[in-house]
Parts: sequence; C-alpha cells; structure tokens
Amino acid sequence: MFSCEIFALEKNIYIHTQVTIHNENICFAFGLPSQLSPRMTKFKTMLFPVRLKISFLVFCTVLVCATHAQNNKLDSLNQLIAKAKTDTARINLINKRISALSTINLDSAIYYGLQNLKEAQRIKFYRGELNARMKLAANYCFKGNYDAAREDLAYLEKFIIPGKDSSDISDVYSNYGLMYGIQSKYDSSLKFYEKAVGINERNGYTDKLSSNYSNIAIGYQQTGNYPMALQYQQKGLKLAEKRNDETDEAYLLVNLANTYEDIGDTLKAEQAYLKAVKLGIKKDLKNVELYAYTNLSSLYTNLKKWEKTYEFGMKAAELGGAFGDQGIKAASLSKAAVALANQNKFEEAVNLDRQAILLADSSNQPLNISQAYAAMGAIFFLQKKYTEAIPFYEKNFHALKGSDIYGEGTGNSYKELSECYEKTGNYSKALANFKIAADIADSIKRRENIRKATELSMNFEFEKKQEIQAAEKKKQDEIAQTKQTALLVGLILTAILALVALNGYLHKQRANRLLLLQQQKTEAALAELEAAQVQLIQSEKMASLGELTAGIAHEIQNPLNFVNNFSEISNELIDEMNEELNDGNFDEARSISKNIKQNLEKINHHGKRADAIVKGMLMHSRKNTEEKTPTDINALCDEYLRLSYYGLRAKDKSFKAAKELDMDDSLTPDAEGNGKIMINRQDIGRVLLNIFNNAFYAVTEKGKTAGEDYKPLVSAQTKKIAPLQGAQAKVEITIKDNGNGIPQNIVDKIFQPFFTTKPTGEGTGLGLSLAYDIITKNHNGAISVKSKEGEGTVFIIELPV
Amino acid sequence: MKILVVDDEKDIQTLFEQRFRREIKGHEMEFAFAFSGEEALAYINKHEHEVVLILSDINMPGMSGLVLLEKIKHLYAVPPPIVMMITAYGDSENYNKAIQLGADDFLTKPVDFVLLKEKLKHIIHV
Repeated sequence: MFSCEIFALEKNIYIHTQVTIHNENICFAFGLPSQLSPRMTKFKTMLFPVRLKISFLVFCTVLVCATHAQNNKLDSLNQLIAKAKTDTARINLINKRISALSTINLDSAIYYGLQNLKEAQRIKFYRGELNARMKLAANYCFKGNYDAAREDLAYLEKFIIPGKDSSDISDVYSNYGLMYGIQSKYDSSLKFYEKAVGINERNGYTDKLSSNYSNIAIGYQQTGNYPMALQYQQKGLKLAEKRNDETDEAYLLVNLANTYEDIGDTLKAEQAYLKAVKLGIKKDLKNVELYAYTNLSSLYTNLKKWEKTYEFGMKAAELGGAFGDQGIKAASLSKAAVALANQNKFEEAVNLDRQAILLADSSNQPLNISQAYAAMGAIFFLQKKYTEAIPFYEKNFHALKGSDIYGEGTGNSYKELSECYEKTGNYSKALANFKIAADIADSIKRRENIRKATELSMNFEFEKKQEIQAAEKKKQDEIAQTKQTALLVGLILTAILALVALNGYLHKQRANRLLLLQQQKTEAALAELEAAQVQLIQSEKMASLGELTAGIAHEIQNPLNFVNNFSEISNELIDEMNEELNDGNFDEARSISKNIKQNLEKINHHGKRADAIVKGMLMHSRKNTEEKTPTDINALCDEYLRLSYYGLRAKDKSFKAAKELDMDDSLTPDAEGNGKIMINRQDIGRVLLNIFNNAFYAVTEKGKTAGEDYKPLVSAQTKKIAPLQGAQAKVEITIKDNGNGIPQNIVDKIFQPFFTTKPTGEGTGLGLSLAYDIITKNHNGAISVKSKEGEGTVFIIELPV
Repeated sequence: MKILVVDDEKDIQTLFEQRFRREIKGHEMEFAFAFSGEEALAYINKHEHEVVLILSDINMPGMSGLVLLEKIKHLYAVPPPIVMMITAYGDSENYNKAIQLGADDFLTKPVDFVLLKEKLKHIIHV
C-alpha cells in the first residue's frame, strides 16, 4: 500500500516516492506545473550543458489523465467523509483525499494537509498525524519549499515511536532522498535512499524497493555513473516483474531506456521504450506513453529514421495536446515537421511547423521557440532555399540567447546556417557560425568518448564485482564457521573476527585500487584505438584506390589504341582522297571522305571513353564531400563491375570469370534525368567495388580447386521496388557469385571492423564494415548477405529513393 | 585466304577493314570477325576448311583466347589452322602459356600493323 508520486526530470525520468498510509492501496501519478521551475533549469545547465533535451515538456503532462481518475475518486471520498462516524475515520479519509488532491492542486493539498494535521494533533491520533505530516513533507518537496519539508521530516524522525513500524522510518528516509534528489544533491540523496533500502530489504518490504532502486539510479545517471544506474534499474525492474507490478515496471523501463540512450545503446533503448509504451497503454499510464513517444521521436531523429520520427512525434503531439500542454505539442510537431521535410514532403512540413511556431511563441519557453524556428530553417535548408532559411535559424539562436543552454541539434543548426551564408556569399558570417558549430561538435565528441569509455569499462567492472561478491561470500562462510568454534574459545573469536574483517577490508581496498587503475588503462587504450582506426580507414581508401589503378590502366589502353590507329589511318586516307581528286575520281573521293568521317567519330567515341575512365578515377580519389547527387545507379553498377573485373585481371593473369548485368530499365535515366537516385556516388561506388572484388575473389578461389565444368560467374542486378503501404520506394541491388560461399560461423561477422578471411596483408578487414556504415548510416538503407557454403554468396543492398 | 579475327572490342572490325583496305580490295586477303571465343568456335565449325589463320586476343570475357587456342589445336588436328595470339604488353605469363599450347606466333598490344601485314603476307606466300 503506497502512493507513488512521480515527476519527470531531464529527459523524462521519474522520481518515485512512497508514503505509507494505513489500509490504503493506491498508486497515482504526480505532476508539476508546466513552467520550467528555476531549480530544474539549474539542474540541467549544471550537468548537461550540451546535450540538453527539451525538458520542460515533462513536468506537466500527467495531470489530465490523473485528473480524470482522481476526480471520480474525490467525489466518492467526499461522500464517505460526510458520512464518517468517528473523528479518526474522518482524518484517515481526509488523508486519502489529500493524496488524490496532490496530483491536481499542490496548494490545496498542502492547505488541507495542515488542517488535518491540526485536527489529528487535537485529538492525539498518532497514525493520523504521522500520515498527514508525511504527505505534507512530500508535497513541500514538489512545491520547492525544502525548509518546510526538512522541518516536517526532522519532526517525524523524533515523532515515530522506535520499533513500532519500521516502514514509517523508511518512508521518512525515502522522502529525504527525494528532497535532496530534486535539488540535485545526489550524495545526500543516495545516503538516505540507501538507509531506506536497508530497512526495506531487511523487512521484505519489496513493494517499496523497486521505486527506491529507480530513484537511486537517477542520481547515478545524472552524475554520469551509467554502470551503477543500469545495475539499480535492472534490479528494480526484476523486482517489479517478480511482483507483477506493471506500473512500476513501466516507469522503470522509461528510465532504463534513458540510461541506454546515454551510453549509446540505441537498440536496447528503443526496445525498452516500446515495452514501456505497451505497459503504459495496458495500465492507462498516459504519462509513460507520452514520455516514451517523445523520447522515441528524438531517438529516431538521431537515427534519421524519418517515418518513425514522424509517427511518434505526431503521437506525442496528440497526447501532449490532450493534456493541454502546448510546450510538448510544439516540440513534437517541430520534430515531425523536420521528419516530413527529410522525406521531401516540404509543403506539409512547412504547414506543420507553422503550427509548431504559433504554439511555441505562445508557450514563451526559449527551448521550445528555438526548436520550432530551427525546424523551419532546416525545412528551407533541405530545399536549398538558403536565403529563406537564414532568418529562421537566426531567430532560433536568438531565442536561446542569454540562457547558456543548447538544445538538441543546436550544433547542426549552426553548421547549416554557416552553409546558408556560404551559399549566399556572406563568407564572414559563414565562418563565424562554422566556428561555433565546430566548438559544439568538439564538446559533444568529448562526451561521446567518455561514454564509450564507460561502456567498455562496464563489462570489466561487472566481472570485478562478481569477484568481490564471491570473495565476500567466502568471507561470510568463514565467519559462520568461526562463530561455532568461538562457542568453545570465546576470546579467540574476537581476534579472528577482527583479522578476517581487516583482511576483507584490505582486500576490498586493493580491489578498488586495481579497478581504478584498470579503468584508466582502458580509457587510454580506447583513445589509442580510435586514433588507429582513423588511420586504418584512410589506408583502406588508399588500398582500394590502388586496386582501381590497375584496372584503370588496362581499361584506358584499349580506347587509346583505337584513337591512335584511327587517326593514323585517317591521315593516310586523306592522302588517298587527294590523289583521287587530282585524278578526277570524285565518287571514289566521296567514299573515302565517308570513311574519314566515320573514323573521326570513332576517335571521338574512344577519346570520350578514356576521359570517362580518368574522371571516374579522380572522383574516387577525391576527398569525401558527403554530398548526395542524382545518380544513374545502372551506369554506376556497370562501371564498377568493369573496374573490379579489369583490376583483378590486370593483377592476376590466370584470372577468368564471366560477369553479367541485369539492369532495371526504369532506373536508367531519361532525357530529363528522371530515374536517377540521390546517393553519394563515390561512397556507393566504393561499396560496390568492395563487394565485386570479394565476389571475384571468391570465384577465383573456387576455380583453383573446382573441376573443368566450373564456370565462375559474378552478376549484378538492379530493381526498383514500388512502395508498399506507406513505406518508401526503394532500389535493390543484388550482387551474386557462385564462389565458395561464406561458412555459417563467420557469416555474421563479416560486417565487423577488422574482420577478414584474406591472408595477412591482403585485406584491411575494414572494407565491408565501411560498406555497412555507408549503406545504413549515410544512406538509411540496408545491406544483407545470404551465403551457402560451396554454392555462392548473395549481397543485397537496399537504398531508399 | 581467310583470316578470322577474334576480339571482344567490336571496333576492331572497322580497324582491320581499313588497315587492310588495299589487300581486301585486291582480294589478296579475306577477313571474318568473331567477338568472343564461343563465337569463333561456332564460326570455325561452320567454315572448317576456309579458315587458314586465326588472330585472337587473350583477355576476353567468357572463353579466353588461351582456351580457344587449346580447343583449336586439339579439335582440328588435320591440319590445324595457324593461330596468332595478341598479348598485352609485358605479359610474359600469357606468352609462355600460349607457346605451351601451340600458338604459332605472337603480337603485342598495341598491334604494329606494318609488322602484322608483313607477317600475313609472308604466311600467304609460303
């Protein structure tokens, strides 16, 4: 029996608090008014100066759903209070009524709390007074009146009769934890929560433990200790699952998802949010649903999954609107609008973001306003309407001025604004904005590194902890044995105990020191690894350039031979034509001139062919510009299949294989260029080259052992796939070989960095891993592989159109 | 005297027809063209006794020039036509392999047509 009061912190985290009240078993949600309270602002700017989420949207939203339920409850409580026969029964009922009121109006909850407290004191009703004061303390915390809360809690510490009901004292400690937690004083908060946990664990009050764990985790999460936060959240979740408490489970899942997001595990974060949504719907926890939708929309924005960003953004906007919170609605609409623009639905995007701007302006919250204007800037930017984009970006930064906080995507907005200025010729402003963007990117990268280091050290710490736990268990066994012996030899007992304890203490200290040292080493190793990786990626690029060069030399030789031959012949033909003219044989001369013309056409054709090859090579070696251009994907496949083929043939004279192309005509551009798809030509070319090279390598390897009948074949196929029910249209490129295939046990690993089956020195092992990044991260596509040992391999690349 | 030229580059036909325009006009030489090893074999099957000399590139998709050479020398025993191979510059590996398979002569790319013409005339007059 407890009431569970919740409100959200940065990134929609919940704090639970429990207040035990006799014969009452309700759980309800508590919300704060929607304005950014001063202490929350401080909270954020202190801890996360850079990746601040749009947090004001989280304080308010439970009100409506809770109100609906609580109003019914209040009605029935009012009836019961009117009929109450004794003073004590009435005081108990009023206390229940205060719990219900807390979610609707803090001021009235405090007012009635004070009255009920007076009444209970007048008739000296111990339980009534205790409950009234406990509720007052919690409500003061949420109200921000910490002095009053502290006074009440200190009073309760003395008031509670020792040993009478230890769950009361655990509630006092939990409330202390809450009070300090809200003020970002995590050390103190942790100390009190641990006291509460101690009592609850000893007495088996499991109904309180999961929310205790959840709140402890918040402190760790906010101070960047993600391993500990995860540990507590998982512990709480396990407990909630065991107790079948789906409400606690839903809240914990939202917070757990946040931690996962912080350590960069987006997949687990996504799963946890989705599960929270499911439970939220089942238990009618609208606030859980809302926060999960909001955070999912941000998560998908980061992943550039625009359809999902839109879907969840609109869901969050709808729910936020239903709660009457314009802030959350505006922020969600902005996200949805950007998602639309990224799907080239510009008109709809502009209309949607106009709504967002209207709402944001009226909400008067800087982060909100900034996000809505930045979204409009991005919508114009995506259409390359740079002049129109500039005022919106500027307005977005103007809204943030003086608040020394950054919203999500602020760095990107500066980068885009800089590009807008560059395109419109204002270079000094372009440079100034570029510098700001670079500064923000630097500071984000620093955080990113810390997070990666944490992730790496987590596994290590976990193992260490298990070791320590094992050591402690062993120690406890020893103590038990010693106790038995001590029955016989009383004095020796104390000595042994002391020694064991000292030993345990020293052991723990040593383990801690070792742990710290190892963590430092891990961090240093990580930094080195990252530097090495950058170098390796560069050398992979150079290696693939080398592979290309051999193919290009061969490719270029044939057209040049034709150019030379046809020009020589033409020279001879002109002499012959002149002779015929001198002899008066005009028909003969005319026929020769036809040949000369034909030769000149051939010279031109082969000259262009050579030119295209050289251009292709230059394009490959050029620095990556990260720009997507309309591209004829059929021509690109053809070009790289040939380059790969001739490259390998130039290197290995015994190389023989057939190549086959099956291209979808609808992808071959018409005169106006329809049919081209937006891709980064150079990057996709690199991916194709890599897969073709692997395919030819596989058939060559098989050719070394297969019989005469074996016909090595590498084929490429393109296919346009029409959109299926709202999904995006896409292009599918299938590359097939009939080589040796990939053994089942390594097929899952081929996209991992540094994985290679080629002999040392032949491959960097980065080719397919780069390909994977290019397709999935830069192009939002998918790459998959199917292989049967001995029969061949099929790579399938999907690119959205 | 019929000469079969085998190469996957189609413009090779125009090139030969112009380089040897006088010889063709004077019916000194007659050329046929095939654009792959498979096509060449089909042509030889059809015109077994007409073809006296085969001039083949080595690097071709599908059946390579070396496989074609091997087949011709084995299948058409009495008497096998003369086969000249065209190899890329400095490609000693293919050169050795072609000798081993019984190639009668070699040309290196880029083809020196003055030299080729002399060789062909020599073969015809012998």
